Amino acid sequence: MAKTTTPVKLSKVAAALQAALPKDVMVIDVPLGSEVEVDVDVNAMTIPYTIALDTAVVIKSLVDRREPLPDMPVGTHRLSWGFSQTEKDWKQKVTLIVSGKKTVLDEKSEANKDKDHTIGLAFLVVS
Amino acid sequence: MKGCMAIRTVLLLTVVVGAMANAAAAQTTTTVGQRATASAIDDITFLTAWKDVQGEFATELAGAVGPNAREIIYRRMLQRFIADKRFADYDTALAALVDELPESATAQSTNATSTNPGTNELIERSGLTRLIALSGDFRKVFSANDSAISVNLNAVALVGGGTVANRSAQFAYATHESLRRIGGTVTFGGKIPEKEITGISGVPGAEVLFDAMSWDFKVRVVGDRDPRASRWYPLLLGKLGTRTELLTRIQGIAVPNEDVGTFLAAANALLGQALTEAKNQIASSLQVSVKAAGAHLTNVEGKNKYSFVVLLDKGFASADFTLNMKYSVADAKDPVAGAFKAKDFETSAALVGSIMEDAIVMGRSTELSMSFKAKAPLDKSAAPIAADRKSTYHLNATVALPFQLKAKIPISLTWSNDPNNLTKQKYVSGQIGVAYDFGAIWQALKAQ
Repeated sequence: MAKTTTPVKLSKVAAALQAALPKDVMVIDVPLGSEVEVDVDVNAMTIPYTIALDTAVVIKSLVDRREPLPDMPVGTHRLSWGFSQTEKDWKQKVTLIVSGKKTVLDEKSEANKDKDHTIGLAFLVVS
Repeated sequence: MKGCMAIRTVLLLTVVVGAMANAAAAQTTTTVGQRATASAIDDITFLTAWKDVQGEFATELAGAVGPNAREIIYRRMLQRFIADKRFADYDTALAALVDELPESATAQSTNATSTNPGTNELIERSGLTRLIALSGDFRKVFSANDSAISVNLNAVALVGGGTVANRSAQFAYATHESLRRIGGTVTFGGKIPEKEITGISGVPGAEVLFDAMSWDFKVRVVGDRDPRASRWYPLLLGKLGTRTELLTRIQGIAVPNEDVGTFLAAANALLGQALTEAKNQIASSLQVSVKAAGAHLTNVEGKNKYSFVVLLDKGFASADFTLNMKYSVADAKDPVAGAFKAKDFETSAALVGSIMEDAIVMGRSTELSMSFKAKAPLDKSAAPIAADRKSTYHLNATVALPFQLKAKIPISLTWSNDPNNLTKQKYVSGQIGVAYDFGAIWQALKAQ
């Protein structure tokens, strides 16, 4: 489901959490105070997608968006995303940007014969 | 073969290779922090609703052992959660998204089949092209006659689509939604026998072919199978948008680490089910169009045909039903009685369905269709050329095999009792068609 642009060595806490979770659920270290953004790149959509942090909606839209995440206290946070696709040649890409460093959380398309719907989840470990 | 009264069975093997290409869909530029996020479900309502569901299923969840059992429970919990009445009003409270509002089962037709003398297809779908489409009914490949070219235009092409920065496909569609109901086709370059215009062959001879052109004006009067249409806002922006949001946000709820995978799988299964139901609802919705058409022999005076057609599409389960009803009046001339109007009523019906998904090409199905056409003259007393004024019937079966990513190879068999079909066979025994909807190119241009 998800892939990283560059391999990252996780902190002990994050590594322990990753070991306890399914492989398709990513765990990402986020240094406290970092500037964190979510970038969403989509083709034509008719059903709004959602990006949420700890149950709070960060983005709900039909088009490309990039939004900063709110300040996160130390601890584990859940970043989730949901897409429902109806249009031909659909594609979706969700990228997490932590102080300029990009991690692709989800990248799917009709061209790759991916499923037309996605609920995804990543854990952000702030320390 | 002219005037033969015996019923003949004509076997026509038609292989049509349609290369359909799709340009890249519109891709807008990234906007940073310029738009408020549309979400009307407050956190208290959201969390209270989930807490109620947790309480209702607490005992069952505690007793469920193993990932499969727990996924079933989670799926029921999420089903109850997204169906909560507290979210019902929110389904229609998404007007803000229309500001950035942005094709399958749209039942499109690009070559005016029911009134195009240059094609051997029996039925015409009720939908229109997105913008402008070019269709070719090519015959040279198989039987050395000229080809008919159709230019199919949506009224929107006349006013231009315009470019709207970082707006969705729905936004552009809504801009000229009423105009999208109107379309037209001009077909030229085809050579046909007089019978295709008048319904009568033999003057001067069935083997003589004439230059022909035809036109039509089509209006969709009921329905719209395009998911971008405003009639689908409550379903897609409302119901599906809400469910996508709820199933995404609920992942932020803490569940035991060993349940994260099953909780995610349950949410994905529910979203997939809701999306499939919505797509089926759109694909099977009723769509009706009416059209007026004319066909003319360009080098012969007084040989015109005018038609009025009703086109209907309606889905049933996994099949799509298409019905065409056509009334036509054509200029005709009898050697004895002189000029008269040849009037006909024609009914065509077809069932189209998909089979063998993923069997030949992954992600694609084989399309199977059965169609029937009956044509009855309404003015027998006025036509001494009685041999050509009999009711005729055609039965067609087509299997369209998927080829690579976009192409299709339809193979069709047609049986007919038309006494003129043995003559007709010489120019319709083989046909290659190509259709391209330039709406896709428009989308790609908008992305620049």
